Amino acid sequence: MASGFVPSAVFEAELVAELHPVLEELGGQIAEGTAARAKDPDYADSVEVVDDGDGVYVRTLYSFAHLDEWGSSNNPPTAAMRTSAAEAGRFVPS
Amino acid sequence: MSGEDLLIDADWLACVSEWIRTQPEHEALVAGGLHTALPGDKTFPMQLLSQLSDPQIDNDVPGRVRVLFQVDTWGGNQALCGQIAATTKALLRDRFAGHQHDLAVNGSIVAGRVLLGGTHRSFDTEATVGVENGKQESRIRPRARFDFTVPLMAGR
Repeated sequence: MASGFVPSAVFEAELVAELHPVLEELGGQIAEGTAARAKDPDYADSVEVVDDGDGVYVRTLYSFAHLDEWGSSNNPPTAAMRTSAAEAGRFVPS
Repeated sequence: MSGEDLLIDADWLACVSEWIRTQPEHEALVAGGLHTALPGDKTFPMQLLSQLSDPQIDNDVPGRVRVLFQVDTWGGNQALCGQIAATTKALLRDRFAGHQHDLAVNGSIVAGRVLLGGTHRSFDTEATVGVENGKQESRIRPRARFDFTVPLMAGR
């Protein structure tokens, strides 16, 4: 007796649908970690998890977030978002 | 006490900092030196090495951890600032990665493959007081920053 395997024609879409809840949960962890680590309360309040249908990402639209995240020659970096991302998985700089 | 061995992680920030600052190409360019905390009295051009994440255990190799760092360069003109950052990246990629290094102060370490982020070149938005070319002045200075991850473990 033999049986065959027929891959789903919509495998990618099915996989993405299965992964979305996990990615949203991870995104939530990263957002919470970022808010907790940020020194500037406006940076902390601005962090959000976005699901655009293709993927899930964590973002801030706060104009001065880079000063907190990356520091300056007068203030050390908090690296709030990158540290939280590294905590949630293998963070690769880009 | 249970009598079990207590494994204390190495001070990776001190190790990587010692390695970078002892490279001749680096010493020749960075008059203000490499720091691991922002100094009160600053001499430019200078660099800051920050360890961003706690060492994460790398499950592929026992005893190996993965650490995320950030390198900032300030001072000089834009070209020199960029050159210092580029030199540091080249040293990390071509000389630090994939080798064991016997450090004079911090012992022996082994570095894995360094993953470098892109360099962001800009100017700091705040003026900083410091010495540059023998003169004390307060000004906005060029900046080049990048981050990198590297797997690290103790050498033998």
